[in-house]
Amino acid sequence: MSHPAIATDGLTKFYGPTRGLEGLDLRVEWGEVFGFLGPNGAGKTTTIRLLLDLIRPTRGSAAIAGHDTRSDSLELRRLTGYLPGELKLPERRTTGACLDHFAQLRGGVGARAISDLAERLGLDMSRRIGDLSKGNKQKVGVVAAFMHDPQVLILDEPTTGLDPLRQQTVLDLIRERAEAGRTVFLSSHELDQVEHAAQRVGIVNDGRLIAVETMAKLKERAVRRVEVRLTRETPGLDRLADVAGVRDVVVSGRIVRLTVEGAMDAVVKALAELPVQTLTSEAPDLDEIFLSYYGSADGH
Amino acid sequence: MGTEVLADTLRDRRRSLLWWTLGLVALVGVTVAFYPSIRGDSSLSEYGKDLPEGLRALFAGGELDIASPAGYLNSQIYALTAPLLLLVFSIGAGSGGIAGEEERGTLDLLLAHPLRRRDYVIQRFLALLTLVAMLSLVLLATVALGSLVVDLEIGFDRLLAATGSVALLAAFFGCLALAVGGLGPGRARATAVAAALATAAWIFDGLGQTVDALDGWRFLSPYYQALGENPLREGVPWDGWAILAVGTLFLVAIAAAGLERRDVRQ
Repeated sequence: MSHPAIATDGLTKFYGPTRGLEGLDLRVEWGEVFGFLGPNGAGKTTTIRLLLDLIRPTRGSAAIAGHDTRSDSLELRRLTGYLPGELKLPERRTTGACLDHFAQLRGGVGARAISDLAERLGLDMSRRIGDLSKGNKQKVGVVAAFMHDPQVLILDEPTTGLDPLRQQTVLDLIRERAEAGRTVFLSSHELDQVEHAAQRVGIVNDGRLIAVETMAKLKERAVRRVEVRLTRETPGLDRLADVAGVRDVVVSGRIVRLTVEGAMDAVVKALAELPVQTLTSEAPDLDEIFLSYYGSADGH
Repeated sequence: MGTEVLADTLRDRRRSLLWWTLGLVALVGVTVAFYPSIRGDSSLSEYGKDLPEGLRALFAGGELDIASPAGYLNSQIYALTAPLLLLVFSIGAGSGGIAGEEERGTLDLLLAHPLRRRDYVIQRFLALLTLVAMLSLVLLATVALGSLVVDLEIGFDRLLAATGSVALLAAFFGCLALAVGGLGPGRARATAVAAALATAAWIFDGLGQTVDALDGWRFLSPYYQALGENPLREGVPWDGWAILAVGTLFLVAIAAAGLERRDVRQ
């Protein structure tokens, strides 16, 4: 296929005077899982809804598989699967009736495709949607996005509300589709949610694309806060600050707090000499990553 | 164009239609059943004639003899009660068509499917038309059967004319609500605009009957086009029906064009 899976040119959306997105230039290739990362309100959902022609650009254009969002919207939506960030479903329907309705809107989808997905996600097809938990509603949305085996999947925070086991199922589904040559555009405000699935990541903040990086590069920049609890007070802990990637070392009694940039290897090896009781590491802080990109962009 | 949105809307409204049917049959049935008790009651006829002209125009369809068969049905059902019920039902369906789905957030995922927005609007219009037609048939059947039972003499063609007028009037204002929803989000706004204009149309026509200066302008009111010439006595007002039908289609076109052009709110 000669056209990229997703292409945007100067894609811009203002809501009145408020900037939703400005000057987005992006290419996503076939078979790629592309992570779209940014804090809430950064422009992720705006981008996704522009791609599906639900909202219209102020300037610029976007296309999926060469189909322009404005002039060729119907064909674009035919080959795309979409999971909204704020999923709302008809509450009075049963899961089965709702999914059947969505399938009919696509001119029919094999019943097998729906039941297979529902089974993998552990979704009961006979229950009323209004009675479902948030997580189970999310599963309905996942099935609706995947059931017609679309060429391009656009998923806005797909793991929201799901327990860790089902999150993994969804990430497996994403990987399988990518291996089959499909493209997945995956938004999240948490690095952890995309790091195992995505090969490349676009970072967006305040309506602008800050950087596009491979996952490997991004992880080098990932900053983690680490807390080490020792079995007894130990002198000379300040030396931890000399370890590669470590900064902001704070010692208070038996507890050491520090910040690690990039790989944890050097820190773990340095800690091996200490009487460690517990070692706690938080998920990488996206704000810190943003700051590091702003820093380089501003030339500081 | 598919028919899934139409089929789905009708499925969704089945229960609501059932309750409306029960309510309408009860109200209209009871009204018709009371006819024998006032038949030929000359004091009631006099009472009707003594009503101030403005009140008679608004609440009794301008009927002078409300104890006569056509006068009774017109004043008690077709001038106000039936249009009111059908209008509330139709405006509810119309404002739900676009604005309601949008407000609930379900329009977002729906329109991400391969479905043209104008096809969506047309199917919601056809659903509205079907629902209004079904409730109108209930009205027609209830009045016709009730009239047979209580021996109220009225031509079926006249009942058909009056019921058709009520149905068209309801469809028109339902599509007005649909159009307001097409132009911008907000179910309350769509409902309020349609309800306010329907009320204004009714009052304007009532005033037109009593205020000489307005008499030449009654044609502006959709209510006049449907019911102003008393179809229970005069039969189908073909000009009025044509005007309402064209107006309804025009509103559907506005709804479709409006939704095609704008952002869908999440």
